[in-house]
Amino acid sequence: MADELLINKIKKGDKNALYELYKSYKEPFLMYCLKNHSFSNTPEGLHDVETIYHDIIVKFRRNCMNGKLNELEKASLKTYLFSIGNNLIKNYFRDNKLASQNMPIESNSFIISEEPQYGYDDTTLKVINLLRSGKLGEPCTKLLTYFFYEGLSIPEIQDLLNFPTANAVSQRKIRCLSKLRAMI
Amino acid sequence: MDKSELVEKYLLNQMTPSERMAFEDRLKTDRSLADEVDLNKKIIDGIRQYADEERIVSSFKEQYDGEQTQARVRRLVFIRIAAVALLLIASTWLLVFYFGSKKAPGEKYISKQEKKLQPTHPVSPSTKDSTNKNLIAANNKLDNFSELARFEALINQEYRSEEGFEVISPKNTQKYKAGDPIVFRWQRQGTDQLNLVIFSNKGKVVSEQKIPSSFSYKKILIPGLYYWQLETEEDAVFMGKFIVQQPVSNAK
Repeated sequence: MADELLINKIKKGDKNALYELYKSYKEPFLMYCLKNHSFSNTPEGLHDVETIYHDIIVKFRRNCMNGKLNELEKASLKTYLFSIGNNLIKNYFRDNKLASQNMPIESNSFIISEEPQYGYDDTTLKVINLLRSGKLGEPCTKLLTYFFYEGLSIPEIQDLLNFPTANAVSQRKIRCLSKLRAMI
Repeated sequence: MDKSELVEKYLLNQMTPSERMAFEDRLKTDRSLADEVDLNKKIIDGIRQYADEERIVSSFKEQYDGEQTQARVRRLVFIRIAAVALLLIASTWLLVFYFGSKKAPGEKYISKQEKKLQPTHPVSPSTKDSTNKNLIAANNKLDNFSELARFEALINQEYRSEEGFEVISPKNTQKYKAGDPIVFRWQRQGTDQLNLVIFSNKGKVVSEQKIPSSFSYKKILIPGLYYWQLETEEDAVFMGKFIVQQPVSNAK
C-alpha cells in the first residue's frame, strides 16, 4: 500500500515522493551491486553503481509518468526497481566488456525480460540514451543542453563555455547536432 | 538561412506570426521539410528530456549527499558529546566514589554523635595521599591551633568505653615539639586491632592506621592542634587531642 501511495504521488509529478524513493533504495541497491556483481568497492566502482542507480530512477519516473507500471502488480516496488537495475547492469558489463558474476536478483518472482517502453518516441529515447551514455561527449552535451533546455543565447553560452566567438558556438552547435543525428 | 536553421527557428518559436504561417503552409506541401521538422523536434525533445532527468537526479544526489554529510556530522558530534559525557561521568565517579566515598575514619562515630551536637559542617573527606599537600597548605594559615568545636564536643562527650580501656598517651592537649615522635598507647582487654585516625584541627584526616595497642607516629606534623580517634569496626571508642608546638626559631 505504501508503494502504491508513493507511485501515485510520483505519477502526479511529486518530486519529493520521487526523492523518498531515491533515498529509500540507494543504499540497498549499492549493497546489492557490491554483493552480487563484480563492482569494485572503489570510488570509480561506486560512481558507476550510482550512475546506474540514477538511470533506474529516471526510467522508473518515465514509466510512472507514462502509465507503464502494470508490471508492478506482480512485484514489490523494490523488486521492480532492482529488475530495471539488473537490465542496466547487464548492459553496463556488456558495454564495458566486463564479466559479471551474473547473480540472480533478490527475488526471482519478477524479472523485467525486455527493456520497457517509456512512452517516448524511439528517436527521442535514443537521443536520451545517447546523451546519458556520454557518447556524444561532454562539451556537445553541455552546449546542446544550454541551448535547447536552458534556453541560453549564443553569447551566454560563449561566456559559459569559453568560446572565442559567438560564431564558434554556432558552428559547434551545428556540428554537435550533426553528430547526434548521425549517431541515432 | 538554410533549412535546418529555419526548422530550428520554427521549433524554438522564434518566427514572427507571418513567418510562422508561411512556414506551416510550406510544411503542408514539402514532405522532406516536414520530416526534417519531425526529426529535429524529436531530437530537441530528447535533449530536453535528458536535461530534465539529469537535473532531477543531480538535485537528488546533491540533497542525498548533503543529508548523508549532515548525518555523519551529527553522528560525529554525538560521539564526541558522548565521549566527553563519559569522561565527565568517569572523572566524577573517580572523584566521588573513589576519593569521596572513602569515609573519614571518625565518620561513624561522628555521625552518631552529631545528632545531638548538630555540627556546623561535615568532616571533609581526604586521603593519606593528599595529607602532605593539605598540611603544607594549612601551614600557611594562622588558625592551625584553633579548636574545632565539633571535635571538642566529642572529646567532652561520654563515649562508649570498653571494659578495662585506658588511654596512656597522648594525654589531652599534650604538647610535642615539632619533629618529635608522637607515641599513641592504650590498654584494653580486646585483642582486635583498633583504627587510629589523626585529624587536623580543620577536621581533615592526617593519618589512618590499624594499630594493636601502641603506635609511634614519626612523620613530621606541622605545628598545630590535632585530634585523634580510636575506633573499632562498628564504633568509635575514644577521641583526644594533642598539640605540635611551633619550633623555637619560628615562634620568634
